[in-house]
Amino acid sequence: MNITITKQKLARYLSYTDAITSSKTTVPVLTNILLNAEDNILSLQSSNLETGISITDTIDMSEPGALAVNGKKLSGIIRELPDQDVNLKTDEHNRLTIKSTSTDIKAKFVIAGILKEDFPKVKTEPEDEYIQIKADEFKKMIKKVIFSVSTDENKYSLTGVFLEKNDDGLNMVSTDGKRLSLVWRKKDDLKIKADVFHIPHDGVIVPKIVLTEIIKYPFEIDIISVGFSKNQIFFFYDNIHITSNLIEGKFPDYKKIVPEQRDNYFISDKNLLYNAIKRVSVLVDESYNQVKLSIMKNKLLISSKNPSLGGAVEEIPVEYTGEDIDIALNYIYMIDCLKEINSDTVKIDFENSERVLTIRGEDEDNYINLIMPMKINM
Amino acid sequence: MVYFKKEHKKMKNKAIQVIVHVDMDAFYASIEQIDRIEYRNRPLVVGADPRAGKGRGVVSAASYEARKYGIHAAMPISQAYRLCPSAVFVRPRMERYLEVSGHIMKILHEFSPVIEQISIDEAFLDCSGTQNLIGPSHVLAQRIKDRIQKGNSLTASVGVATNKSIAKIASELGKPDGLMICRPGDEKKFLADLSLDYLWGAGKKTVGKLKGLGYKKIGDIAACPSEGLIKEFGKRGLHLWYLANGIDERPVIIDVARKSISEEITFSSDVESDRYIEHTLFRISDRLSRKMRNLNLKGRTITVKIRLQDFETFTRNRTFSYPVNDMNTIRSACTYLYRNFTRSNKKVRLIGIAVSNLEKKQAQNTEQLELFQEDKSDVNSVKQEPQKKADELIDEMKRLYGSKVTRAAFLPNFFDRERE
Repeated sequence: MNITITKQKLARYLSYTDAITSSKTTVPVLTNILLNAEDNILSLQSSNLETGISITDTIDMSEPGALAVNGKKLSGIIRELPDQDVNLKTDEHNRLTIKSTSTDIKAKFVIAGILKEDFPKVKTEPEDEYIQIKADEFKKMIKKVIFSVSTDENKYSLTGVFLEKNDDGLNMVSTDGKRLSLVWRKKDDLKIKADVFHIPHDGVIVPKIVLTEIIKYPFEIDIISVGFSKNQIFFFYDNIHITSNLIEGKFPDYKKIVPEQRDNYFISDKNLLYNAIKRVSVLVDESYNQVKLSIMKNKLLISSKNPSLGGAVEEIPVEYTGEDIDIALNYIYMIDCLKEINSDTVKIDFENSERVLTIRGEDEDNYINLIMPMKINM
Repeated sequence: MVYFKKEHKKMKNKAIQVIVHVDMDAFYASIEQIDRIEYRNRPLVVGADPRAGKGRGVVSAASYEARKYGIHAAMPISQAYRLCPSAVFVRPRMERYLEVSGHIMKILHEFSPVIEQISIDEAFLDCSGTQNLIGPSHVLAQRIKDRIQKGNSLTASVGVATNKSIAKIASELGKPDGLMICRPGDEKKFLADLSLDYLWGAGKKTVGKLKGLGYKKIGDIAACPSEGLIKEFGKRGLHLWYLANGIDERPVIIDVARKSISEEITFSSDVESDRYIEHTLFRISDRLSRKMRNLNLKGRTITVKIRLQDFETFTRNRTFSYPVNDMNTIRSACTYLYRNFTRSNKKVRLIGIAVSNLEKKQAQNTEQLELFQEDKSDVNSVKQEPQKKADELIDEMKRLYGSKVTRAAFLPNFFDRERE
């Protein structure tokens, strides 16, 4: 292989592929990125056995070939080179030589690689047809739910985002068992182009890592193609294919716990509430992150207490006419969802201090967050 | 050297500290010898059943008579048996030891309110400012020893110094029935000729590494600039260098909360079967979680300890964002950790679980409520509440009818037979 490619492009591609390489050293081959040059097309591939990525681009090449090399090292080298084109060349001993075409530096890097045949194959094409979706809207949906995904491997089926078809579009749901985020869009909002819009198994659980990659990526073309096989999901956008195993297991029946709109609610300015919670949270007891909401007639007291430090309290005006009630909750849950609500005012409804709260934007009728309170400890 | 000068200035500004370290002599063994006249003046080993040299546990404590044969704590019991087959071998009676330990701590409280108990038979006392009340260091130390002797017929070794590290070394040097004092200002001289093994806080590995670097005595370390050690050991290097120079500013901490809780099992013969090991993990999780619930403790970090047939020991841990004590969570975390451990075809000798990062469950608990707790559908692991109730019920059953009253359905009978 002997190829030349612009530094910026290569650096960018390597950062995407290296994000997928396995950090576990149990399977050393997975710390590599496979470079494959054929017919003036360069492809970069990496995999951690759960998730795989493949990026292709047309380039200048004088000799085809392939080699897998350590991802961290290769991206480290490329990052340090000046902004001119970079030349990559392999030799018969499976070594990759990297040089900048810049005349300013005379550096040469040689790294040992492994053969293409020893690198796991990354499957890039689904069995069914791709569904084309407006990428921008799809990414917005992901951002609205990804923070509620569980990081607890003991709750394996909660470690991804649940994707399912609704009557007229798409739902995304995530929960860690203590809070839940649910967003939905109509087929038209998403400009879904597909002969048959179908999601297998009445909904699939997509690992967080793939979705994190997608929202990181700035799209050139505002389309993301999504496809499925029995236990995999495939995404295709710009020149990137990314594939992941679906999370096996049953996503909890979340519909049962989403309450109907309830009579007990208060309405607040979103930014006022967000900023007040952030201020008060400076003094929370960090092992619990608990803040208390004391809801009273037309005002809300937000307070925190830290046994070794002190405490804080802030009052903000709200619309509320019901009886006084105290509800304690983890302030991070509140901050996370308020950040994602696109509305100037929010409506928070509740039943009592030990039942679920729902948080909705007044002008955003396709997004709900549920938060379970904590037992009050102050 | 800059550090040293700075530190010394700091020290000068402070009143001179009087730190006492009290260490009971052959604690478990001595208690056995006091409780049973016939054991006195005989080599006595507290520990696992030696089974005529085929036992597999370790020595918990050895009396001074037994130590003459080369027997010491943590030695495999079979080896101890070979060294002295005629010794008295007894199983530990932890409850009794705890009871005596309680008495001794009570006695120590007569001398200072600032006490840090670091193990069942060891404690630091900060007696700074008690000179006028009790007298100079040697009087203080002798009085502590006398009180313990009078109250429990046990001997203790006492070390007095200006800081914890030297007090600890002093009591160690005097053993048994020791009384050693390092006077203020004599710290460096006191340490200079001691072997590195006395450096408190440096484990076997560190000492080995230090020796490899050419240090022989504590004084050798003190004589070198700190930079070399920092380069070799990082922040710990500076700490070691301070210790070697007789500087230790760690205070005596009152009432240190329990740091971890653990249970382990040494198999009667090395085990190959993953299934058997996972079943054992299940059993240990069950016992450990019950113990935690009884003590009202929850912990965030779960550690699995695995000792292979060649005595190499490994630990694997994971930390939760919330404290746990239910059997299911502990068990599944341990199973997960165990399955991710490669033992390269070696058999397992010992397996254990420890839970650390502990929190005492307060009476009024700050508990995060669960979204799906009312959900009765079969969603695995999300249903926390029923599990909690089941745990509580089983706790109560076992309390009333004994530990054998229930067993997980998938556990085979052989565990019942094996239980001692």
